[in-house]
Amino acid sequence: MLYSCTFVSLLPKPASQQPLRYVLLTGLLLVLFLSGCKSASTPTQAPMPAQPQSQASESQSQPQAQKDIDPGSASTSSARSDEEIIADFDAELDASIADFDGMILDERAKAEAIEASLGGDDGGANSGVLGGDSGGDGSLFEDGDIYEGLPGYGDFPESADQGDNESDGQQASNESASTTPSGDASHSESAAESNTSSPGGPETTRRGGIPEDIEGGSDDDIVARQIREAALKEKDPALREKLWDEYRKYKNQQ
Amino acid sequence: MINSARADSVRINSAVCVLISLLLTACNAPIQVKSTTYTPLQLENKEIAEAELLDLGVLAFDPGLDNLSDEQADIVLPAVRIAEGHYLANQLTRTLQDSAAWGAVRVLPSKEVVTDIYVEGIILHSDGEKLTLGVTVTDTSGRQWYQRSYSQTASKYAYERRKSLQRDPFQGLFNRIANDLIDFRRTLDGKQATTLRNISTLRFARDFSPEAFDEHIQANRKGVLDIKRLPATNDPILQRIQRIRERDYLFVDTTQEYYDAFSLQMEAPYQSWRTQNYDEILAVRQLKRQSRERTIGGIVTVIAGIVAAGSNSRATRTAGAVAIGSGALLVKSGLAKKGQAQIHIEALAELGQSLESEVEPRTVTLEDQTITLSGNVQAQYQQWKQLLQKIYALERGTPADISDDEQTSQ
Repeated sequence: MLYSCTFVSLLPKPASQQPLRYVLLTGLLLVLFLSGCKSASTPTQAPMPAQPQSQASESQSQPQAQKDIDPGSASTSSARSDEEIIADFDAELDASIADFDGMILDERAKAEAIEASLGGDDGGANSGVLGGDSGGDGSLFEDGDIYEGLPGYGDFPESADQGDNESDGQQASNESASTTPSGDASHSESAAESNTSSPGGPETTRRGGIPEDIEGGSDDDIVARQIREAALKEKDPALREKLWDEYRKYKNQQ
Repeated sequence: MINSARADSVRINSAVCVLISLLLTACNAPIQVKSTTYTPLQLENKEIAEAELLDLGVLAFDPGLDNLSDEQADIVLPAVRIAEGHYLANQLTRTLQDSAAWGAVRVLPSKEVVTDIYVEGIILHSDGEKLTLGVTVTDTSGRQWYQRSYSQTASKYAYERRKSLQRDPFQGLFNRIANDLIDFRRTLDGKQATTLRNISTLRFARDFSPEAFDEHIQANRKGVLDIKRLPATNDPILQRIQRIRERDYLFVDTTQEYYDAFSLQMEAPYQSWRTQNYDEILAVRQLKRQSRERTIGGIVTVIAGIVAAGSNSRATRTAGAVAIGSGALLVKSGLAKKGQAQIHIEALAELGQSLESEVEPRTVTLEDQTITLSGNVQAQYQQWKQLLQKIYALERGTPADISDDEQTSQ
């Protein structure tokens, strides 16, 4: 509108007086008209999609040249940008998941430390209860393991009826362990692994090698009697303690 | 004259018989015979496909403090009951794990945690001698499987040291609950089990990205969730949410560690309390029964003696006087028994206070740990939800939502 008005205001001037001026003016008008058309056809700046805060500063520092996007490739650039933003979000998610994992692992380590410290303080009775609730589980040998190597739980006194034939005793204990209801392979392995280590739990104060809480055994059936005999013959204290645990377990199931 | 003498004789005989029977009744209290049966735990021998293994969450039991009778209210301490709620839930969890019929079995801090089956319990009675629990089982769709109550009376032998080392005195009750769950589980076919797992997945996904998964599951008129359509297995948002769900499992596993540590701490004092409570409860019951019988017997004897005292016969009057004296002694003895029972009731309260002082700090610690961790986790989840919302908007090509959201967050 502005150009047309200017054009109209200039028209009344006589063309014969200043032909060169007309040519110049016409040329100027054309230039202005073209420039006006160019400015009207220039695309306005599209709104930038949201970006994570970590990326916002980067995008601001990008060179100005990147902002002068070729109009013909505008849609392609926008799609690629979305993918990049999603990738950034994914990276942010990954990072926060890693932080979360670290936090959770710390918490678990704390809880496990509390459990371990409690297991060491209470004499093993508690872990025994928790491990052997419903009668058929496989945590029977865990109790003794907690106390292995702890100070204050020394070697068992050697009883007179032990150790006459060490190899026989070992064999008998292995046989009996395999005949017990819950004596599966993992138990046997764990028993074998702990063969070289130390003493059993503190709840087995002994009289002649028999823990105090073990009764006379007059009502034992054949399996219980085998376990009992194997425990009496066993020389290794850790294995012997596990056999007594096995014996208790079996008796409780009856 | 003859008739009068005969009537006196009959009266004397009947009075003597009544007195003898009352004395025998009062002095010979019936022996209480208590039979207890132990229900073994059923094990699932059939192999269950991975896709059909249902996870099970046990919520901390309701302490049942609102349902206490007046008699119970005197001896039940709230802190002890609350601690029992955590402890018993953990015991049941362990039993369910042992049954080998389920996926992950965990004590859940709240029902907001998504899992396949929820077991809720309420303690109706717990004093060391008897345990009564109300149990409600629902699945992830909101359908209630069943609601039952379980009760068990402990045998005296359950508190023998060598036995209590290996088994909870009420293990049979937990086994029955576990067995009933297995029985009900067996009524579901593979497709139903898979559907439940899918509903859990979609519930979790909907919680994190409602705009993406709100239409996949819908509740019917009864409030039971049903799957309307399933997302693609390679759905990128679902894959991200699955990664988050694995973290949710970690969170639940960690709270389980807290409950395990708590149970470990509570085990010794709680079992000791149960053992002593058991003896005291039996003593109170026996003394109350003796008190009641002797008091009633004494009153009746005195009345009989008074009646006999009005007789014409000298012998009857003498018997009546003796009966009045005996009755008075019986009433006195009954009152003494009542006093003794009261001493045991006070002992029960003291035992409860002793246990309360031991377990209350541990309960507070457990709840602190659980609430703190849950709070941290929920804060993190909130961030992830916002992140997923932005990603979803970008993937759907609606970035305007993002800028709006960012503006509101700013």
